[in-house]
Amino acid sequence: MDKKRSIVKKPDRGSFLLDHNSECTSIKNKYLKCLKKHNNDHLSCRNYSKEYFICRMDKNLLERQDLNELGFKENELDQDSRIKNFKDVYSYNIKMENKNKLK
Amino acid sequence: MGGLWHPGWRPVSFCGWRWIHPGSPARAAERVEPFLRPEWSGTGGAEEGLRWLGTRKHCSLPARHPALQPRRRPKSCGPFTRAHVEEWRQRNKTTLTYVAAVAVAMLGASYAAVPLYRLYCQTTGLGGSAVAGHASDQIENMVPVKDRIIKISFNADVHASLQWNFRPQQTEIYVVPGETALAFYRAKNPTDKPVMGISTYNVVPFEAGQYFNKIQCFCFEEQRLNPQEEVDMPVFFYIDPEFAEDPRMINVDLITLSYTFFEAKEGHTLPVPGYN
Repeated sequence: MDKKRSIVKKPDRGSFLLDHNSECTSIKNKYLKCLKKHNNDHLSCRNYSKEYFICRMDKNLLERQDLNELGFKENELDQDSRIKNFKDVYSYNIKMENKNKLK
Repeated sequence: MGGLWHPGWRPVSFCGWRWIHPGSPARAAERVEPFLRPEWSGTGGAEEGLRWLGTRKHCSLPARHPALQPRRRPKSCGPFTRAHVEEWRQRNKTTLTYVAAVAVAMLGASYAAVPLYRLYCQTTGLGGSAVAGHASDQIENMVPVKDRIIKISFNADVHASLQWNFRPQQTEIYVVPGETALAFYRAKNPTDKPVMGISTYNVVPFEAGQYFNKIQCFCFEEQRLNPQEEVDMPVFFYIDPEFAEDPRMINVDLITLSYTFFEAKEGHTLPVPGYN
């Protein structure tokens, strides 16, 4: 494998249409606020990103598709930040690894 | 080496080096006749015998004075007649023609392969990826690897000639492999003219780049910003679950996604990875 060259791939579904009229900006702001609250843990704010996609589809900024195809499962619950009680990712991963070893 | 040269194996082409002296078999017959057996003489037996010998040895040569004719090995001597040789020549010619045709066809095929492959990719919609249809199935059926959190940090750059203000709207985000995540960048055009930009990205560490899959983003296509306009640019991506099983990635906890915007000139397109 050519280690010197970085791997750059085309996106699977192309490019997002630009939201020139800021139609979905309010939902985006809610999402970002949620991220700040939960220490940037994505899983806690998945609901808002789902809403953002629904908004885009409603305003014709995105073609209609099943949210399952975008990786959003039906019964996802908002969780508290996974990373809140850990000082960094490394310590979280080590803890999880040890927990699995004990099982 | 000497043992190989058995006299019985003398090649046929050696015939004819013995030059029987001039002229018609008739004159030769006159000389030979006294030594032949009685039953051979008479009705031109010796002549006929020699003539037969002559057809075997000097089949295609007209009788000539040896001084006029340079000493050489007749090619059409021995058991192979001129007809045979001609046939071989004909066959060699056809074989050569076939071989040459095959070589030219190969050359033509190598030139034709490029547009043909492009056509094939367009019709089957593979678009440069070796395996068709793996993306949407994979996203639906992906199982997140809950125990492994990765920190994705975002970076934004702008080429010197582009006057946009381009920045990420979150410094970092924590995801696990197999989880689709949304992130935002923001771009503002502070000038009084509409500006077109086009962007590319890269992922550090670069071995992790193969696991970084973007579902949708704003890269590789021209994006137009009107004067004084500010717009959100989302990126929707996921890390392939196989990331957690790669032994080389065992120490990778931080992936940095870096976007760079360039000014798009008229008619200028970035080379897009794969075929469009």
